[in-house]
Amino acid sequence: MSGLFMDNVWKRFGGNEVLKGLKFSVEPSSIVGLIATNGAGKTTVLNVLFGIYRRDRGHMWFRGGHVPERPHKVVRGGIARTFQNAQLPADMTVAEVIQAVLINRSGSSFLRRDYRKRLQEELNELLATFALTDVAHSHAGKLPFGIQRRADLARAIATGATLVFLDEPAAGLTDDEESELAITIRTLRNERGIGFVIIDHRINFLTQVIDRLLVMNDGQIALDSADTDLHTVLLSDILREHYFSDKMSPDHYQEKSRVVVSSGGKYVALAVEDLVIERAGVPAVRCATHAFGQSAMTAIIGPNGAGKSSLLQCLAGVLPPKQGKLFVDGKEVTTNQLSRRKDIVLVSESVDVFPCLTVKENLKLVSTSNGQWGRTLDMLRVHYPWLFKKLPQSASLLSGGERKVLALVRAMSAAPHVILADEPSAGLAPGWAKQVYEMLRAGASPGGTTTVVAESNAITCEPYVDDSCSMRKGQIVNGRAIDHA
Amino acid sequence: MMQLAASYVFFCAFYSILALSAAVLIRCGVLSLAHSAMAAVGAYASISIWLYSNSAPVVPGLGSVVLGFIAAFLAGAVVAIVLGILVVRIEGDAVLVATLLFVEACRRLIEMSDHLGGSVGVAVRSLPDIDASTRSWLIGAVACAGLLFLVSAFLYLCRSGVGSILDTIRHNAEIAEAAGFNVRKIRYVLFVVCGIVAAMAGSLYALFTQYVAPSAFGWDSAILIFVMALVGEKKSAWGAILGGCVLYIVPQFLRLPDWRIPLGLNSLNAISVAEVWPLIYAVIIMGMARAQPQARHE
Repeated sequence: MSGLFMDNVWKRFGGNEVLKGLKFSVEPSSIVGLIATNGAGKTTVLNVLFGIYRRDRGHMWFRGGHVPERPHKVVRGGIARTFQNAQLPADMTVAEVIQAVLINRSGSSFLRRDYRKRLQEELNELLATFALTDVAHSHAGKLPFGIQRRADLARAIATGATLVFLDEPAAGLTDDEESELAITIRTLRNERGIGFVIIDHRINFLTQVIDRLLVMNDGQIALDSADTDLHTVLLSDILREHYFSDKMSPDHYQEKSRVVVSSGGKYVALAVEDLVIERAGVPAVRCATHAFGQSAMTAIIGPNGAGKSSLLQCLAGVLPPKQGKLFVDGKEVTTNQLSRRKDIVLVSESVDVFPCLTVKENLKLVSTSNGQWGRTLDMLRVHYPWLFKKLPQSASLLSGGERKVLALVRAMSAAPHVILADEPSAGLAPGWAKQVYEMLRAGASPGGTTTVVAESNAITCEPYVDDSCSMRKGQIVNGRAIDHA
Repeated sequence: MMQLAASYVFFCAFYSILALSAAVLIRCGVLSLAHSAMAAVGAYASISIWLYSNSAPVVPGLGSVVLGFIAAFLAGAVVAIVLGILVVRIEGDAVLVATLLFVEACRRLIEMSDHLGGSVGVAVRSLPDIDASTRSWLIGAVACAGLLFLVSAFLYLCRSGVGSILDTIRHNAEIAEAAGFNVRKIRYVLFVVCGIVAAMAGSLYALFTQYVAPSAFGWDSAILIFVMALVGEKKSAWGAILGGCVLYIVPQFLRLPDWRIPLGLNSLNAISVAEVWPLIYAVIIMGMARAQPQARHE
C-alpha cells in the first residue's frame, strides 16, 4: 500500500463523538473528492491526520509507514494541506511566503550560492504555474481572497508533497475561477503525479476533477464511488437527504411582495457616489455609484478581486474611501460616523466568532435587552435547532461552516438597520446556504433590515434578492444613480 | 570627557546587541524578556573567573579575560538550553510572564549569594596594565566589532531568505507547522543562540564597568531591552540598533540634574527633570510605538 490508508479512526470532543471508526484509502496520484454536510467532521479528519488533534483510536499509514504525530513531520513525509479561509501574513510578499517553504525544505544547503539559484528557479516556476507572477511582490495578506487561495495552494505544492489535502478550495470562487482551479489540479496530477483529496461543497466543481467521490456522514464514510459508480453516489438518498436539503424550496419566496426601490432618497437606505477606494496604494474600487434600497436585499455580484469586499468594508466604516461620497438614509456621512454606528453590521468573509466563548456568550455579546435575547432564541429555534442545542458549548468546537452561521446569526439577532454580508454562502453546503439566505430574506422584510450581500456565485443568491448589481474590476457595471432632489 | 564618550559608545553597542537578539526572537514570535537575566548570567560567570584569578593568578592578564569570556559563553549556553525547553513549549503572553519571573528569580538568587557580592554588588579589576581611557576605548571597540558581526550575520541570513521563515512562524505557528516548519526546533535554536549572545554582552559589561550589581539586571532593564527591540520595522536590524542607542542616550540627558521645569512663578517650586524623567520617557516610548509601521491603521 503506497498511498494513504486510514483505518478505524476515532475522535471525541467532550461528549461529542466526531469520528466513529473512519476508514478510507487514497491511491497515489489520484484525485479524491470528500463531501459531507457542515459539522460532519471533515476538518477534524485533517486535524487528526496532521497531528493537531490526537486521535483516540485507529491507525494511519502513508507510503508504507505510520503517519508521524507532529504536523511538520507529516509534511516532511509528503502530505501537505491548505486551509479553509487561508489568511496569509499581511507583511510578507507572495514570493516570500513560498520562498520560506522552499528554504525550509532544503535544510541548511540554502546557504550555498548554486543552490540558491536553483531555489529561485523553482520559485519562479511555481509562481508561473499558479499565475502569481504579477502579484509576487505584493503583500500577500492584502490580496483578494481568490488569489490568496492560489498562493496557499502554491505553498502546499512547494513543500514537495505527493498528496495534498485541499480544504474547500472552491468556496467563494466564480464559475470561471472554479474551472481554472480544476485545470490546475488536473495538470499538477498529470505532470508531477501529485495526488489530491478535495474537501468541498461544490459538487459541480468536484465532478470536474475527481476520479473518486467519498461521502462522509456521521463520522464515517457512508458511500464510496469506488464501490459503485459516481452516478449512483450522486443520486443516492444520503446525498439528497443530508446534503441538498431538498425539502426547502425557494419558490416560497417568489410570491413575497417586493419593496419598491426608488432613487428618490426616500426609500434608499444606503448609497455610494463616485467612490474610489485604495488598498495599499492599489485602487480596489475605481468608481462606484449605487443606491441600495431600504429594507431590500441587494446582491453585489462579481469575481474575486472585483472590489466587493472593499466596498462593503467602506460602507461599514472600516476602510476610508479615497474619494467619493457615502449616504445613509439620504444624509451624507463620513467614515468616522459610519464606524461609530452600531446598527450597521459587517459580516466579513473570514469567520469572526470568539472561540474562547460559548455559543451563548457569543450571541449575548450583541443582545442588549431580554426581549431581544428572546427574539434571538426564537430565531434559533425556527432556523437553526442544532445551534440552539449547542448554546452551552464552546464556540471552538464548532466546525468552519457552523461558525460562519453563528457569525451571521449574531449579526442578525441585533436586528440591525443595515447588514453587510461578505460571501455568506462560501464554504457552506448548498442546503445550509439556502438556510442562510432564508434567514437573511426573513430579516429583509418591509420595515426590516437593509441587506447587502456580496457574492461571487450568482446562482446561490439569485432566488432571494430584490435587486442586484454586478462589479467588474472595481466598477459597478449597472449601478443605480442617486437622485439628489 | 574622552572616557565619557567611550562609555556612550560602549553602552550603545551593548544595548544594541541585546535589543537585536531580542528582536530576532520577537520576529519568530517568542516574546522573551530574559535578555537582561542572560546578560547577568554572562557577567557573573566572567566575574567569578576574574575574582578567582585575581586572588590566585593562574593565567596572567589577557588570558584570564579570555577565560572569563569562555565561562560566559558556557554559562549562557547551559542556562538558555534549560530555559529554552520551557519557553518553546508555551505561547505568546505566557512567554512574557515566564521570562519575567526568570529575570526576578535570577536577581533574587544573586542577591542571596554572598560570594557574588549579594545585593551590594562586586567590584573586580580587569586588564590592570593599561590606563583607564585606553581600556574603555578598547572594550568599546570590541563591543562595536561584536555588534557589526551580529548585524552582518543577521543581514546575510535575511538576504538568503531565513527572515521569511521567521515571519511565517510569527504570523501563525500552527499554520507554519502544517506547512512543514519545525517551529519548536527553530525557536529553540534561536533562543539558545540569542541567549549566548546576551551572555557574552553581559561579560563585556562586567569587563567595562569593573563593578556588577544585581540591580542592573532587574525587570526594568528587561522591559527596557524589549522596548528597544520593538522600535522600527521588524524586518531590519536597524530598528533595534536605533532603539538601543536612542533609548539609552535620551534618559542620560534627561537625568542631567540642572534641567528644571518651573511650576508657577516662584522658581523655588521648580522640579528637576530627573524626578519626572520616567514620565517623559514613557511619553517618548509611546510616541515611538505609535510611529511603528505596524501600529498605524491601514
